[in-house]
Amino acid sequence: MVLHKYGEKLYAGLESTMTWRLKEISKSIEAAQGGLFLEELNTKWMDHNKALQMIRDILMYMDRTYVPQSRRTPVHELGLNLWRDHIIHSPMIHSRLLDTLLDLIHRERMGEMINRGLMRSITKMLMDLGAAVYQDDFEKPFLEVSASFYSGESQEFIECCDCGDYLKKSERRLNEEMERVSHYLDAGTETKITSVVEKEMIANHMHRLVHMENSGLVNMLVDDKYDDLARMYNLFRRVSDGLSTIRYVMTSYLRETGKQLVTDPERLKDPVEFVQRLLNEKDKHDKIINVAFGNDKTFQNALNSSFEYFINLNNRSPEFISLYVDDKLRKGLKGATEEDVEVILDKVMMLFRYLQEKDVFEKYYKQHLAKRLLSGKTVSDDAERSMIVKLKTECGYQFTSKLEGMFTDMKTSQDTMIDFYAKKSEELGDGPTLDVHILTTGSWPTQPCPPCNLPTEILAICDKFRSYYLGTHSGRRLTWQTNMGTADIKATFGKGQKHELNVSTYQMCVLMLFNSTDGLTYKDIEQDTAIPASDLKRCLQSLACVKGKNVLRKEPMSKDISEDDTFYFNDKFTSKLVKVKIGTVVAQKESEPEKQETRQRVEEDRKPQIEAAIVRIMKSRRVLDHNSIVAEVTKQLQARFMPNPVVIKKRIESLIEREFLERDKADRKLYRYLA
Amino acid sequence: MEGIVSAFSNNNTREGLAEFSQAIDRMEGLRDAIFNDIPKLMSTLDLDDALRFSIFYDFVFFISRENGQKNISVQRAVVAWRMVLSGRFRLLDRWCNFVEKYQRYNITEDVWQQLLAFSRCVNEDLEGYDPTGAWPVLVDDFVEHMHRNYSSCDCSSAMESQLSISNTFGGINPLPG
Repeated sequence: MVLHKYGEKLYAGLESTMTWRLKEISKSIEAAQGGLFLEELNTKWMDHNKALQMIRDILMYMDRTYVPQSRRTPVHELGLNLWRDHIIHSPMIHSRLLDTLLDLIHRERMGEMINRGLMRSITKMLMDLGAAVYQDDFEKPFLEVSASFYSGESQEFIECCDCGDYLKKSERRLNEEMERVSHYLDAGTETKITSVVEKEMIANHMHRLVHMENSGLVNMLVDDKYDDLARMYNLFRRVSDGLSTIRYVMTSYLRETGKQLVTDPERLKDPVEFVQRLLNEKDKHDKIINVAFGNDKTFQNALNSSFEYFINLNNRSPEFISLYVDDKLRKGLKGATEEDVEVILDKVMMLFRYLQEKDVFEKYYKQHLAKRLLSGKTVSDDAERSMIVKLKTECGYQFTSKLEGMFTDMKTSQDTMIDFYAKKSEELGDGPTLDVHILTTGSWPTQPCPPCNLPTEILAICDKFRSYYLGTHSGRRLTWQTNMGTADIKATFGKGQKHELNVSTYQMCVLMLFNSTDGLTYKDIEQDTAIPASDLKRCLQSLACVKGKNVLRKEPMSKDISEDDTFYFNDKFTSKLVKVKIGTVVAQKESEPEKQETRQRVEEDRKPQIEAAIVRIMKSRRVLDHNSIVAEVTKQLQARFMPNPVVIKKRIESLIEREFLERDKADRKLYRYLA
Repeated sequence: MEGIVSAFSNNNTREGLAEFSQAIDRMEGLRDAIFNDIPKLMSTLDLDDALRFSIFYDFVFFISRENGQKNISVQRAVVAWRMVLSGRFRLLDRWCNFVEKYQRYNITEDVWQQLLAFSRCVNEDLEGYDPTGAWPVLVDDFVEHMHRNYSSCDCSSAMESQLSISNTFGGINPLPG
């Protein structure tokens, strides 16, 4: 027919025949009852497809020649269009189809089983008819209905569920929707429907969820609910501002609890416990971020900044952290393996990194290390050195040079003592053994302190050592730090029992007085030993007032030492131990005045550092305004401490006075460097 | 006398000033005589011009220095300030009292010079003071002291002014209903 120029007739005939046929079909579909409606539609669709294929094959020639020439719709597409117009868009079917589909989905959401295969066929039909048909006639209304469904459901959940349950339900719903898409909807619908669920179930209730009483984010953090937290993280990640909401709440919670922790006066009583708590807190949240938040960098940063914030709220933190290390290196690490030690020290370093006043830490660390070294109380030399190496990598050579100097001194002292005894053993006879630590002035936190009067026996050997040492090292000065030494003395008590007493040098001096007499007044002792009053009182207290260690007897009996007391050798002293340690110099939390003193020393030490920084900066910049100098100095020094702007200003004034700097004549805020 | 001031202002190198200072000290009592004559000197000099006054102000510090010292004692500084800034610095009295009470160290040349700048840029209520304005710490402390001690008793007057504001608003009634 096409060859005979009847193409148009043939095409028109096909179109009208097909239209007529489809109207018939539409009637039969309309007539289908209830649930059979979809099946009927589907069967007819299959038939139509099959028929369409055959028609296309039969009319292939027309499809190839006539259709392109006269710009008609190809046969197959024509069939689909007609199906769309006469079946899907027929008034009786159009809304019924949509309602049926939405009703089935709703029923499935409520837990019923539906024929997914059929659903799949129908949605595929809609897609075959063109993406526009699927979107306009199904997807859009589907999303609208879903939105209102989830808005209602989330409202209901949030009223009656706790946060964890709510999140579980949301997660399940989200998974269901994704599964639905994969089973019988077009893949393009997935992002659309999930974003509906995300918006309705999460974004709209985000704040309420996070702050939910008794089950919100804070409670989850407190109770280590890793699963719930992970769920929250994964769900909130899907919505904008979701993670920042979690982060914000977590940060303010951390800051608040951290602040309470570091400012609670109860906690300040035990520094070791204080630091342990900080470490536990850090571990706890590290684990949460690791397990539940996928090691999210932004959360790690939030955790770090929170710690940095509250650790520095308490100006004793540097001291306490040093005390914690002291405790660990004295006894806490006994029996621990090398790896354990490393782990603990690494954790301490992490806290150290948060400190703003690293120089204060250094000051305390030096004091504590000195006590450890001099009293020989270090558990492990390796651990000590490992800690120094860590500090060095963190803060550079300058920071640890003095600490390392202390170790060198200890080693040199050992060698010196061996040499001393090798050379002088004949002269010494069997008098007391002396063990001298030669400390380089400047490396050690020693305060000038007048030596006390040593017993003659000791004095003799000290003098021998002095002449030996100065003989081998010319041009040096040797002073005795009697406030830092220790002594082991053997004593025989009333019933002939012998004990070895481990005491400080001061205590030794006091005890030696009782070799020649039985009773001495406080005044006598003070006069004979010349020990500073506060030290003497402390030392007498530990000799006479501590139960089980009272090698002296005091009259009258009381807890405190007064200047009118008299002391006697305690004949009746007994102890199960052969070796009795009396009042060892354990590093302790500083008292308030001591703390003030250390603080003042730190402030003094900072002045030259600040001035040096100012001069360095001005030397290279020549002219700079006040606020830039303050900013630069702060930048240069913040690795060690946070310089106070007022102090910086005072240093600038001092430099002006000493004519290192001058103010610019025209602009008084500018400073000039005077070479 | 005026010759001395111009000799001072012509000598603008450090060495020159040091020499000049030694020259004055060679005549016994001259320094004190000049110091005591500052009010008289001020009446004879024309100090209306700000620049000329600055020079004179710096001269007063120069002449106040004793025994070749770089700085001047608080006592002497206060006497000098009361002479030279009288009528030129509204907070002069409070400043002097504050310095006498709290300043333990001598007054440096920088503080001396900056006070003049300070007196020129703030008014009675310390308006115009910029806390980040590189003022010497003593000036910062003074401002803080003023805020602490005078803001409390200024409360009543602040209340009054607020009252009068609300009254004017009531009269105009900008938002009817």
